[in-house]
Amino acid sequence: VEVLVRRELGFAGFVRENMPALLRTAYLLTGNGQQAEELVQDTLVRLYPKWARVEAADVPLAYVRRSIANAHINQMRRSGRRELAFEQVPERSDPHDALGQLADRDQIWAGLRLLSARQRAALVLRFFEDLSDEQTAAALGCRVGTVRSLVSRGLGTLREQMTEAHRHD
Amino acid sequence: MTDDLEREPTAAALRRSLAAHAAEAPKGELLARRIIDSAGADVPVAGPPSRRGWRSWALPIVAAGAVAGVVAALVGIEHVRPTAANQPGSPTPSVLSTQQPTPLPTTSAPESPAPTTVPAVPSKLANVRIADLTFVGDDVGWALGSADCVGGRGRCTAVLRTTDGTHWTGMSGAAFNMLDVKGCADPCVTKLRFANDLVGYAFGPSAFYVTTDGGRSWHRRPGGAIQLETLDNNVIRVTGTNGGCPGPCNIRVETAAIGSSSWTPADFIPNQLDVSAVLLSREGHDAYLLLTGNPAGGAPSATSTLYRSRDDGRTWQAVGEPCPQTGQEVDSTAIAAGGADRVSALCATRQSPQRYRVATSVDAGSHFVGRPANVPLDRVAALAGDPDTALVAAGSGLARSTDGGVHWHRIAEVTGTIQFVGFESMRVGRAVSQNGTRIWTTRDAGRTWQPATIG
Repeated sequence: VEVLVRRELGFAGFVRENMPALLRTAYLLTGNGQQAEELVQDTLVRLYPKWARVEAADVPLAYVRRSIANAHINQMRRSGRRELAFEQVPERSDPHDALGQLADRDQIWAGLRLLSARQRAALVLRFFEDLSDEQTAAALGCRVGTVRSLVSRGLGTLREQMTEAHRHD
Repeated sequence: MTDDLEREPTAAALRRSLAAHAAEAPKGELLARRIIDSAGADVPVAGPPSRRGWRSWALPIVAAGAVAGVVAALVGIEHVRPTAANQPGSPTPSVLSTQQPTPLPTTSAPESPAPTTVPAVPSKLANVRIADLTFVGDDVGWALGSADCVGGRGRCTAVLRTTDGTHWTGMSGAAFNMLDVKGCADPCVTKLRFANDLVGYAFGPSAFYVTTDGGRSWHRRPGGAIQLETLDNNVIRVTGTNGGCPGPCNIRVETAAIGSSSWTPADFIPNQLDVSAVLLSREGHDAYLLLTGNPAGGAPSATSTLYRSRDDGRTWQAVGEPCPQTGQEVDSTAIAAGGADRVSALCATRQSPQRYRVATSVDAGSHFVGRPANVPLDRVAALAGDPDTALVAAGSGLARSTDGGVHWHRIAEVTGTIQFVGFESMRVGRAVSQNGTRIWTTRDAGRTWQPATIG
C-alpha cells in the first residue's frame, strides 16, 4: 500500500507540474489540441504502472517526452494515416485579406503537416526541445545518421513550401 | 552540420514557428485532474479506442420543422422491410405496415423487449430522399431518409449505409417513421448519429433508438432527443418537451458512455425560456449549445444564448449571445465548433432582405468578433467547419471562407437549396441538396465538391 501511495503521489505531482510542457510537445507533434491531449493521456496511462522506472530516469520529463514522441510515431504507423493532413496545403489567403498574408511561421506550420510523423518528431525534438542529434537519436531509437537524414529532408520539404509560397506572393 | 543548421534560414523559421505554436497548446488542467484521479483509482483512464478529432454536422432546414412537427397519434409504421412472410422466395409483396401499440407519453417510451433483426432490404431503393447523414470515417456512413415503399405504395423510412462514401445500400430494421413518412407520426425520428461502426442513435424529440450492430436492428429506449452528438467516447444529448412553448420546453442535457443506456444529467441550467431552436456542435472535449430566441413579431429581447462545455458535456456555462448587436437586431442562428478553442456563429439581420455574416471566437466562445462580409447567399441556415481552415455556409447554395468569414466565395458547382451540410474531418465533408436526392462530397476542405445521385 505504501508503495502504491508513493507512486501515486509522485505521479500526481509530475502530471500537475509538467502537463503544460507535455501538451506543448504533443501539440507540436500532432498539430491538433484534441489529439495532443489524447496522446499525453494515453502515454501517461501506459507509463503509470511502471512509474518507478520513470522516476529513476536521469530526467523523468525527458523520458516521458521520448515516450510521447514514440507513441505518436507508432500510432501513426499503425493506423497508416497522416494526422488531419490536408491532401494539399491549405490554400493561401486572399492577398487583400484583412487578416493578412500567412507569415513564414504559418507556412512552416502548414508544411509540417506534409511531413511523416518521424520527420516531424525529429524536427520538434531537435528545434523545440533543443536536443542534440545524439539525444534525438536516443529518443527516437535510431542512429544519429538517421536523425540527420530526417532533419535534412524535413527542412528540405519546409524550404520548398516556403519557396513555393513566396513565388505566389 | 550542427553549426550549418543553426545558420539555415528554414531552421530559424522553424524554431520561431514551433515556439509560437507551442503557446497555442491546450493547458490541460482538466486533463491533468482526470489522469490523476484515474491513476488514484488504479484504473486506466482511456476507454476503448474512440473516434478522434473533428466532427461538425448541421441539419439546417429539415430539423427545424421536425422539432415542432411531432404528432403523437396511433398510426401504423411503414418502413421498407420484408416480413417473415415475404422472405426471399416468398411471392408476397415486401411492403410491411405494422400496427404499433398506443404510444406512451413522449418521454416514457418503454425499453424494447428484444432486437427486431430482419433480413436486408433490396439494396436498390427507388426515389430515395436523404434527410440526415452520419459518418464514422471519411467514407463509412449511414443516411436516414425515405424511399418508395417496396411494392410502390407510399413512402417508407429508409436507413442506408455506405462503406466507400459513394454507393449506398438499404438496411432493414428501421421501425420508425421519419419526416415524409406518415407525417412523422410517433415514433418519429428526425436524425441519425453513429459513434462507431456498431453503435448508433436514431432519434427525434419523442423517440430514441439505439443500435449496437451497425444499424441492422434498432432498440427503442425511453425519451427522445432534440440534438445528439457523439465524440471522444461519450454522447451528449439534448432533450425537451413540446408543451405550449413556441419551441421546445424543459431543455435538459444528458451524457452517457457510447452505447450505454444510463444517462447522467449534466450541470446545465438554461437561463431563457423562450427557445425556438436548439443547436449542438462539438470538437474535442468542447461542446457548444446554442439556444436561439424566438424572433416572431420582431421582439428585440429575443436573444440567443450560447452555452459552453469544456468537459464533454458534463458541465455548462452560459457565455451570452455570440453575434454582436450592431445597432440593429441580429440573431445568432447557427454554431460551428472548430479546433483549438475556435468557434463560429452565423449571424442573421432581421431586416429585409436578410443578410448573413459570421462571428468568430478564438477563446472558446468567451468573446466573438463580427466579420464584415456578407455571406453571398440569399438564405443561410447552417454553418460548418473551422474558421482557421474552411468555413462553409449552407442555404440557397454553399459558400466558403478560408479566413474566418472575412471573405466569402460561392461554390458555383453546388446549386439549389442545401438540406444538410457537415464535415467528418477537416478535409472531408458532405452536403445534401435537390430535395435530398443529391449528396455532394468534398475532400479538400470544401474547395471542390463532387455530386452523387442516390437511388
